Amino acid sequence: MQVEQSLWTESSGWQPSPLGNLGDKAQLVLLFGSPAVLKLGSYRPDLKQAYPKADVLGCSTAGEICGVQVTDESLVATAIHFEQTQVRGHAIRLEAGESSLAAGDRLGRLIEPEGLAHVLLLSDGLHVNGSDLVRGILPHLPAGVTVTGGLSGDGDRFQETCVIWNGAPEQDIIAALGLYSDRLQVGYGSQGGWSPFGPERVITKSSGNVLYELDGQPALELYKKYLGDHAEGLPATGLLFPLSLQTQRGDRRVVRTILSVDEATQSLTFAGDVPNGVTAQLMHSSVDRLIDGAIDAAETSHQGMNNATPELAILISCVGRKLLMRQRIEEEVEGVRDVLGTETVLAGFYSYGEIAPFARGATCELHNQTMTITTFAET
Amino acid sequence: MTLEPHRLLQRQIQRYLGDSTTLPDDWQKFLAAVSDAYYQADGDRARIERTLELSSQELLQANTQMQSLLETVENQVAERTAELTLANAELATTLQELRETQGQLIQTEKMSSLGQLVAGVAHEINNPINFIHGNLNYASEYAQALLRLIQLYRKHYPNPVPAIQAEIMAIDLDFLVEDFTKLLKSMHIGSDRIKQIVLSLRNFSRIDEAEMKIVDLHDGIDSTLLILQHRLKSSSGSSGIEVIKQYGTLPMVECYAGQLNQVFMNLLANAIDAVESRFLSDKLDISALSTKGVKSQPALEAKIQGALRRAQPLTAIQNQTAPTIWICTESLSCDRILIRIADNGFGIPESLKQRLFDPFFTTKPIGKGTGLGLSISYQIVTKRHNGNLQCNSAPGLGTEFWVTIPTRQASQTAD
Repeated sequence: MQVEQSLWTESSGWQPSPLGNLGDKAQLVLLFGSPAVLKLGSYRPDLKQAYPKADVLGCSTAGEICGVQVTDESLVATAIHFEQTQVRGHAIRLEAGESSLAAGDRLGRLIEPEGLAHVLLLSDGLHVNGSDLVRGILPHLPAGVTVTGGLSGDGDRFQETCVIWNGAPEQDIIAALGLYSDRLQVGYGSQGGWSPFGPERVITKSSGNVLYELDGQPALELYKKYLGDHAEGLPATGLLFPLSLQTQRGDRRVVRTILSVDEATQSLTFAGDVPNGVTAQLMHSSVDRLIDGAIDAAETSHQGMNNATPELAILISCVGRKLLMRQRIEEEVEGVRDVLGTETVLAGFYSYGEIAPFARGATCELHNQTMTITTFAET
Repeated sequence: MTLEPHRLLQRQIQRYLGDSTTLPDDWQKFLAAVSDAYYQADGDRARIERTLELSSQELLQANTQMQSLLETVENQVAERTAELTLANAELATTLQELRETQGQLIQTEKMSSLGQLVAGVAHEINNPINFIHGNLNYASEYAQALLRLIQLYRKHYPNPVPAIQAEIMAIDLDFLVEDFTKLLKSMHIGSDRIKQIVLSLRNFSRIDEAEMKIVDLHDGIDSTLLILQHRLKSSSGSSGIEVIKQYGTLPMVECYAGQLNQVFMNLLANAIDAVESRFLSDKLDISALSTKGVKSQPALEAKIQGALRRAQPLTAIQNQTAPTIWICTESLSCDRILIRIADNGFGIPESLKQRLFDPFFTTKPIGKGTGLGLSISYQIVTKRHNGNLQCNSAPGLGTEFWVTIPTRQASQTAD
C-alpha cells in the first residue's frame, strides 16, 4: 500500500504542490474538506489531473485531519494505491420520505459481497438516522465483515453537509466503499472519554432520534440550564453535554450527541435513536480524558491488526470533542500517532457521528462524541 | 466577535512587553491565541463548576424526593399494616362469632332433636301408662273382690272335694293370696314411677316452649337430675354419686325453660364427668361410701349468711371422700337468683380456665365431648338471659359453676 497526502488552504493552495507522485497508480482518493471549500469545486480538476484513475470518496467536515494536523476551511486529499486490494463504491441519494433503514437496505444490496474485506461508509450528516442506516446495511454483509465510517459535518453550523462519490459534493448522499482483498488487515476501535454525571433520567417522550422529555420535563430546558450562557450557542454547545443511554439490553451504554434544537417543541434532535423508556444521563469530559479516549481507540484498533503495522489510519472524531478541546484538539491526534507510530498515515475528519463496532467482535453501531479509528495494512 | 485580550494576558503583556500595539502582526495573532486559551480555560472551569453545582443540586433534590418517597411508602406501609391488623382482628371476631353461632346451631339442633325425641317418647309412653295406671285400680279392686270371695268359699266349705283340695295345694293358695296384693301394690308403685318419669321428660324437653315462660327452676333441675339418674346411681363395681341439694326459696323465673334445662344438663353432666374421672378411674375403695343417691337438704339459711355460704360448696365437699355433686339455689335479691353446681372432681387447671367457654374447646377424648356444652351454656345464660356464668375451680379439689340470672327479662326475643 502506498499513501500520500496533500492539504489545500485558500492561502497556500495545495501543499505539497504539485499533488503527489502516485498518479495512475492511485485507486482511491479520500477527500475531506469544509463545505465552503468543497463548494468552490476547484479541487476537482486538480485531483483529476493528479489521480486520473482514482475513485474519489469524501465528505464535508467540521475539521480535517492531515497527519497530526487538524485544520479548518481546508481540503485534505489522501491518495492510496492498494497492492492487494480492489475498491468498488456505490452511492445513493436519500429519497424524500425514505427512512434511513430503507436507505441502508437499498445501499447494502448494491455492495458485492464476494471477496469483501471491509466497508467504508460516509453519509449525509443531518438528514440520516445513523443507527437505522447501519441496521439497514449490516444484513447484506458477509460474516466477519463490518462497516466503519461517519456522518459528514458542517463545522459547528449544523446547516448543510455533503458527500462526494466521484462527482460534485451533494446533500442527502450516502456512499459506501467496498474494499475487496484477502490480504487486507483491518482494525477498528471507538472510544469516547466522556463520563456520565448527575442523576439518571428516564426518556419519557421521544420519537426516533427526537427527544422531547426527560423525567417528564422538557429536554431542551435541562440543556439550557446546564449550558447557562453557552445556551446561546445551541445546538453546537449542546455537544459539551452528550447524552449517555443505557442500551435496551442494559449491558452497555451508547452516547448520543445533539444535531439540532427546536424551540417550538422544546425538543432536541440527536444523531441516533433516543428510545422511550431508556435511562439517560448527561455526560461531560475534559481535554485529558478525551485524549485518553482517543489513545484507547487507537490501541483497540491496533490490537485488531494481528501485529501488522498500520499503513493508513482513518480517524473520524466527533465535532463535540473539537468544541471542547478547541486549540488543543491536535493533542488527541498526537495521542493516536503515539500509539500507531509515525509509519502510519493519519487521515480523517471531525464528524456528526461515528460508525463502527466499539471493538472487534461487537456489533457495528452509530457512536457520538468518540474518536473512531479504522486502521489498514496489506500483508 | 473579537474579544478584549484576557485580563491576565493584558497584565502580563504590560509587565513583560510594555505596549502591545507596537508588536508585529504575527505576535498579535499569537497573543490572541493565548488570550483565547485563557478564556477557554476560564470557560472550562466555569462550566465544570456550574455542572458540579447543578448536578449536586439535582442529586440533593433527588435524594430529598427519595427520602420523602421513602417516608410516604413507610407511612403507607404502616397504615396498611394497621388496616390489615384491624381487618385481621375483625376477621378473628367474625370467626369467633361464626364459631359460636355454628356451635349454637349444632347444639340447638342437637337439643331440638333430643327434645323432639324425648317429647315423642314421653307422648307415646304416656297413653299406655295412663291406661295401665288407670286400670290398675280396677284390677286391684277386682282382685280384692275375688280374694274375698275365695275366703268366703273356704269359710263356708271348709272341706271341699278332693280335686279342689289338690288344686289349692298345687297353686299354694295362701301364698298367692298374700303375694298377689303385694304384687298389685308393687305394680302401682312402678306405674306411678313411669308416670313421674314421663312428666319429667316432658318438662325437660319443653319442646313447645319457644316463648319466655315463668317457671320454677327447681323443676328443671330435678327433671335434669332424673334424666341423668342412670349416671348417678350405683352400678356393679362402683358406688353412686351423691347429689346434695340445698334448694333455697326461689321466685318463679321468667326464662326460656328448655334452654336453661340445657344449661343444667351441661353443668351436671360435666360435674358427673369430673367426679367419675377422679373417683372411678382412681379405683378408690368406695365400697363403704354412701349410695344414697339423691338426697334433699333443708332450705338454705337466712340470706344474711349468703356470702359465707357462697364459699361453702367447695370447702364443704372438698373433704368428701365419695363422689359428690352439690346443687345450691338462692335468691340474691328480689330480681336475681343464683344457682351453684359444684363437684369434687380434679378441678380445672389455671391454664385452661381462660378457654373454658371457647367454642369447641374440650379436654375430653375425641368422640366424648363436642367442646360446645360450656360455650352454649355461656351464650344461653349471658346473651339469652342477661345473666352471668362463672367458674370457680380449685385444682385438685373441685369445680363450682355459678349461674345468676334475673327473674324477669327485659324485652327478649326468641331468636
